[in-house]
Amino acid sequence: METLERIRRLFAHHSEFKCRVLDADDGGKISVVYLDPLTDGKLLTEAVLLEIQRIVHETSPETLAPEQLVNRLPVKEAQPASEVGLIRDKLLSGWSFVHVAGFDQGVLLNTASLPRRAISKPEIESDIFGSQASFVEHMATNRALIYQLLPDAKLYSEDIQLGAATKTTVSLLHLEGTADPRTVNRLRERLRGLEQVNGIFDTLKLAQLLDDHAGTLFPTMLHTERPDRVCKKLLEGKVALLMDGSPFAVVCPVTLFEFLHVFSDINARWSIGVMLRVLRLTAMFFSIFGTAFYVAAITFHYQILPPELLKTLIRSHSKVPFPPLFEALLLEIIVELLREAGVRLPTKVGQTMGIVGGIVIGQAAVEAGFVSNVLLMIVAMGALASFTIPNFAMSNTQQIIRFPMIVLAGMWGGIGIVIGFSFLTIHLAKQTSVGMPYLQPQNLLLSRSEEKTTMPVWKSLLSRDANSRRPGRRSKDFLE
Amino acid sequence: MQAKGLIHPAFTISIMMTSQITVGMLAFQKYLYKAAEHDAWISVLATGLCAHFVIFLIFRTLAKFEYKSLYDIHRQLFGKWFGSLLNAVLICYWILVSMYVLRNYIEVLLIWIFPEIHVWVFEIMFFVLIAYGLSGGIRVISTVSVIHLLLLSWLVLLLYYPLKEADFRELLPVMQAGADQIFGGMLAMGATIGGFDVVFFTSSRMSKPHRIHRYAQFALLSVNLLYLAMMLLSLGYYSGKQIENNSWGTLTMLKVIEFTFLERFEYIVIMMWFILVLANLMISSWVIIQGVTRIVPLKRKYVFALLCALLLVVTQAIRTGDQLAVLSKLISDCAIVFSFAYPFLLSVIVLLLSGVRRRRKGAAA
Amino acid sequence: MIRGHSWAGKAAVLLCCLAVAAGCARQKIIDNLGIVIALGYDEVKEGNDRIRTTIIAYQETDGRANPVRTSAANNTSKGVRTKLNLKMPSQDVIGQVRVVVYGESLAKKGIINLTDTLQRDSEIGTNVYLAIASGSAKSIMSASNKQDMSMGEFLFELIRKNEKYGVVPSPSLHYFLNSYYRVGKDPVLPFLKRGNREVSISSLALMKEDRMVGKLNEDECFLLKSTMGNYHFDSLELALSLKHDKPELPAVSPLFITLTNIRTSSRIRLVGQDDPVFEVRIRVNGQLKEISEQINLEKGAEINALEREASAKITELYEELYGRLQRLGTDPVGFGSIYRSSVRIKGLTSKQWEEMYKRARFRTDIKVEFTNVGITS
Repeated sequence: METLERIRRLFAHHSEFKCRVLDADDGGKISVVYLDPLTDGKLLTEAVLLEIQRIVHETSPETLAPEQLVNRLPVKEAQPASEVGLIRDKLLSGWSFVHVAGFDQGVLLNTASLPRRAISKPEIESDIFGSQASFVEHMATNRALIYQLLPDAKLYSEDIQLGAATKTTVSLLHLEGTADPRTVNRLRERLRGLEQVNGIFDTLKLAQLLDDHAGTLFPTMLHTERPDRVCKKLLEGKVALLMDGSPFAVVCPVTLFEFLHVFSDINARWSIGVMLRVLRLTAMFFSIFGTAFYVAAITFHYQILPPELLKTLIRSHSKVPFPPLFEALLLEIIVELLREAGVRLPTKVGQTMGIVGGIVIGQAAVEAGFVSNVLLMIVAMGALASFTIPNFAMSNTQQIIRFPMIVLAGMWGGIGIVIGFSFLTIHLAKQTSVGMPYLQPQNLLLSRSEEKTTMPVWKSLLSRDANSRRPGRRSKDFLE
Repeated sequence: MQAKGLIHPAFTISIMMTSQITVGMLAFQKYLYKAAEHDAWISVLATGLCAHFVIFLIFRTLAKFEYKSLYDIHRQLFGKWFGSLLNAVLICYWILVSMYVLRNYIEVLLIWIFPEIHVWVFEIMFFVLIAYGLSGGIRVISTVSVIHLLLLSWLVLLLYYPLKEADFRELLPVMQAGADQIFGGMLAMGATIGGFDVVFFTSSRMSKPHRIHRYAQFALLSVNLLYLAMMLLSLGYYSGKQIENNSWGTLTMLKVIEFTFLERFEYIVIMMWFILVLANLMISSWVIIQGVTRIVPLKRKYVFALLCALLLVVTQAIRTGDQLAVLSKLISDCAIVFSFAYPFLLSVIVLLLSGVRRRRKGAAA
Repeated sequence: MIRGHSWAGKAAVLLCCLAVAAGCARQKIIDNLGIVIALGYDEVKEGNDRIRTTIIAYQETDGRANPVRTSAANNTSKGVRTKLNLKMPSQDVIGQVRVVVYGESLAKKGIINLTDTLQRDSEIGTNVYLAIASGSAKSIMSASNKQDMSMGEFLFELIRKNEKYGVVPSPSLHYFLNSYYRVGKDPVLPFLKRGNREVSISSLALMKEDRMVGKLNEDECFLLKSTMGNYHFDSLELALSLKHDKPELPAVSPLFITLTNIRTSSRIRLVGQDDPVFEVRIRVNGQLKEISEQINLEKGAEINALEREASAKITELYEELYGRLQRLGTDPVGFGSIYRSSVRIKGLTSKQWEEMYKRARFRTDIKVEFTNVGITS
């Protein structure tokens, strides 16, 4: 009783706190407390209230003891409880608490029905080929999607709770026997260390907190919203993290090249898949260095331009009163503003503003003589190239990196670009993703074999076992 | 996955190649032609064969000592004091080589691209990047050297353009130069090809050390073929005294390459050479620091700072191209001694000592 | 070493300080430059000056690159820069020079010293074209042309087209130096002449080492270039004289035939060492496109007969050319270098070769072949 009073006082300021009192035959009261929006009304009525009434009518008062109720009530989970903290937490998760007068303990019943989204198409990683399911915010559904694709008993999952106030559940998934136990241990340790941290609402933030090196620009964990991709990575021996409330799963350890992979490259034919990956690699390179090359060539190295091109560039740059470095930075900043604005615009206004921003501003800037049209084209192409990067975090990184490159190119021309490039290379070489070096050339291009990438790179590229036969190759019987 | 701290032996290829190909590739034709005229390519071939033999000797020596670093081999073989003395000499040699590579490349930058920037500005650029690379250890250095080497590999295709205009009749008649001329060419070439003794120091950090030898021979073969091809091409492309006149034969050859969107490729090649020189300097700095920390118990970052200071000060003293030529001559002579003569000597010493030991054991048994 | 990425921040800061302290490189923004595309050198005797340099540069005005011509005189070709700088408002750069023209009097005295500056300067490419002007270089560069192109561009395109598809052997700086430094080969450069609103390559200037000693006319240019290697030509006209002794062909004189789409291949060998004897084997393959008299060419025998006539005539022309070159003492084909590479002789000097060249004899084996005779017979 005392417990119930305390619960009532705790939730005195919650308008959705409901207490339903039923009468027992012997005059005692059976109280059912719950938080209305979090519980499944139908389940509550049928499984709890109706059942309790039936028990009351058919049996003796002893059967209303908490242990008996636990065994009789047809809900998913039930446990006896008397501790206020536990009851409060569970009530906040959608459970209901049944207290029969005369007993010390009550029973906690799982009647939770939290609001959830239906499974929809992936927002960022939508593709032409492949399944169109994506994760939702509800952890159980996400896990269900994964288990559907990978019904392996070796798929271990551990839950860890983070945050005293937010109590987010994080689930660590790995395929026992395939995943490197050192990675799993490392992650487990780090997650345990985060147990006091509040306010982690998304796996991307979690990924940053679990990072090896805090200050890096490059993402070291891959986030994805596709269950099929997560399963493929699990099979390769990686570890996946799911979080309640986030529709993104995070996979680690990863290398730089995996950020350029789209899952459906595997579904397309091998040669086409390789071509697409090469294209993306080139696009990444161009988006980082494209404008910088232009600035360097026009500011310092007129000799490398053939005369026809030189005349075109002179003509396009002649109206601009600024030096190329300033012009390039100006244009890049305008493009960044457009990008940011485009993300936040509501769809109704978005279309018009897109046209205004993209076409009118660009055109007007050229006509006014603020920027040169060649530079505009290069910057636009660079922005386009950065959009071919499938991973949004990586795409953001690229947008940022190109600014120092442009500045270096404006200061020291070609040597500046080379310095920037070396800096980048050394930085990437030093990076590790949960202990694994960031630049290991695994999966650089598509490997023909389906075997795990824990084998040496050369082998995986050259192996000719049964799995590596390319689809479409005719077998002997066909010809006979 | 490799054991902690060890890198895959295949990295030897990139480490060796970046140690060998430095500014020499851009300017070696002149000295060889002076010595051996149009048979200079025979000198290149001969030097290459010698190098293969020397690498074989190096690995035999290393195998006897379980692939320890040369610094440790010295101490084991010659005792603590004399071994440390030898190590100090080695370190001085490597410092000279770094100075040579750095200053020569900056010379190229000064002549061809930015004549108005001071030497020390370029040097500080390098030092900053080298420091950053060294902070990651041998793993980062080897990864960086692979990437930089791969990025430069396509430059070989550019040689097609001078090839079109080459007249190989200039190479005839073959073997007109006397043996002494060819030997003179070999001496000039030895310094150019000389960096392969870096394997003495990096083999201790590699897994599966018994496999390093084949990777090293492969790397050496590639470098030799490259230099041979360059020499043959230069002999066909240029005529006689034209090579002698040209201080930077390779770069002048690249001036003729023209595409519709880019021309004057020598500028691009010089820029890309920056990353090669950077990888080279990272490796030699690493070797120097390894050596110094074994003799004097200083923290590595201080050793590096001292090294940078030393390089800055000394290169300031070299103001004219003339003085640079004197330094270069000194260092090429040292290179022949340390890269070719010394490993040979060492293997002979080891052979003798093991022979003595066997006889002693045999006598005792 | 320090682990982690605190180095990255420190490195970045250091580079910034470096930039501020030492400054950036000197900027060469393209529309502020006067991009020189043609140079001309003349001999003058004004006061202390020895060489007059004329330049044509692109300068950006009103959104277009306009050609501007200036001229100044000084003791060396580069020393004139100060004077030129005083005349031009833009920073002139010579990295894009395409054509260098030498005045005739300068060419007769020797141009190797002037090409030295082109070699020494790292900014100038080795595929600049060299040419010799009839009269003074300044007059050529001040001429106008019917196409209204800037003179520098005009000269460049003119020489380039004729080098690729015409009868001018490569006049690039690299090739010039290659020939000059080679024992037993002399360079040859195009000779420009100024006409009424036009400038043309009137002939090739033959050089001995680096001095101009003679000229070849247009027909002889074809003969020379086809001896030097395997080339592709646009057209060739021959004047034949058919006699009565041929049963297949009527007697016509003169008979003009024109071949187009010509491929020539040439092979020169040393067949005799003393008194050097060279065997020159040339094949001229072309399509017969024009013939000045109506001759029936249906049968193979007739075509072969015409081919033999053409071969005989062209062999005459070749031998005349070689004789003339011998008399002038210049060896643009490079017989000397062929001699050197075929014979084991130590240190052949150009003086020695000069002597031997006077006694050299040429055995020719030259054939003309018609790949086809067009679409009529």
